[in-house]
Amino acid sequence: MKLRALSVSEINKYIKNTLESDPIISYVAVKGEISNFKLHSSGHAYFSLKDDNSKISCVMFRSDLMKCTVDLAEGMAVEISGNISVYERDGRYQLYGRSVKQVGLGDLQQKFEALKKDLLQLGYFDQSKKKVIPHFVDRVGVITSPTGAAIRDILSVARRRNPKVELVIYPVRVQGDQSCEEIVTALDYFNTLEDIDVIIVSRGGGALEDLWSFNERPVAEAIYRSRIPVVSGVGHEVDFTISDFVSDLRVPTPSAAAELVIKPLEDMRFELRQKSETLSSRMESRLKLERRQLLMYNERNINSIDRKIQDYKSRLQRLGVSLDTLSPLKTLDRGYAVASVEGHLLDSVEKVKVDDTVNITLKDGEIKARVQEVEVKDEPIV
Amino acid sequence: MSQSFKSYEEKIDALSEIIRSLDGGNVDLSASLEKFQEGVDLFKACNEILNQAEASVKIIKEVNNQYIEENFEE
Repeated sequence: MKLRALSVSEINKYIKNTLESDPIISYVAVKGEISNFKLHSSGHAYFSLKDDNSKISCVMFRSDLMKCTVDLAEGMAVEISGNISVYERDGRYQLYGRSVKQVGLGDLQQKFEALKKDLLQLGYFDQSKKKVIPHFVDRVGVITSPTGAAIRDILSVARRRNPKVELVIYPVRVQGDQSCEEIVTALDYFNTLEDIDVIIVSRGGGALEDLWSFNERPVAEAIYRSRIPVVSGVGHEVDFTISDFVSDLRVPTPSAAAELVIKPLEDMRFELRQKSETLSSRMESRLKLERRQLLMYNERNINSIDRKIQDYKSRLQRLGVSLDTLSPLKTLDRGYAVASVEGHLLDSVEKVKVDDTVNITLKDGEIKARVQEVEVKDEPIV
Repeated sequence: MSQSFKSYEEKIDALSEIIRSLDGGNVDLSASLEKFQEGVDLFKACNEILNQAEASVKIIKEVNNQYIEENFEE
């Protein structure tokens, strides 16, 4: 029997029609690992799907790729749905993928990836949208379970660092059906208050299912619309939730959230003490300089400068009082006393006469004393 | 509310600025004295903030559709 020879085009077309008329091949899902992945500049993706023994060429067009919730990558285990057809020019059959599902991941992980991708595109995670966490806070809103480990950790860190910062707990369930709704209500409620400086959303670690409320879209949206900065401390170091991505700051644990929001009171005291000492010493050295200059002027031109000196002297006196209030313990503790008459610091016996009342300030109180005698020394003591 | 940690930052920054301005001696003495007095006042105000009373922990309760804050007992 003599066969009529077909052209290459004819046979390829025939095979194509045969394949396309097969009900299974025209809509099929194939699972395998992506290899030889190439994203063409046209936006179409070309790759192979393979298992241990075999492989098949795949193509996904740009329009289908855009709709897909996972980012294809080399080595990824996927299930691709589409149809198999022949690329006539090369005589090659291939899978034309329409949709992709990542396999080896549970449904929740799929949902997580899908929401993450969606919110990313909506700009929910943009750095530019992140609100600044204030340096110092007065009232912190805490959204968590009132009985969980998270609240205990947060409270103990907060009390230790600065018990003067007020914590306001909005109790919520942190897992289960009502959890998502309660967290949203809590976020929105705090935003109706005027005096909440920052919100901590928190719960302890757990499986993906346990942390699920923090991966729900309504929670993400509530965090995104919060005008108050939100710090998310959910789970342990390794757990990431959608809340973490949307929040203004993600910290690894509930304790870390409290540490980040509340500055230690001790550090603040230390800093302030240092500043007050610097302030005093700067002024003191400035005054020394000024005294030296005044003495120089004095020698050169006593009369014309005399009034100015008097003026400065009285200022120096007032300043002396200020320096003492700044660090009164320094001098008084050593047993020195500050004497004053009618609010003016006493620095010369010439400023008192017999029967004047002198106020003497010691480290633990004040004495009112009456002057009995005034004695001028010929040689100054100091 | 002036006695707040929120206002603390502004005050401590102002104090740092005054300390900076006192360095060098380009400013005349009378202005320096004024700055110094301002610094002392800021120090006192900051100190007062750090010495304020401790705050209690509150928990929000919903009662008849009203939100109230109660002291939180662990």
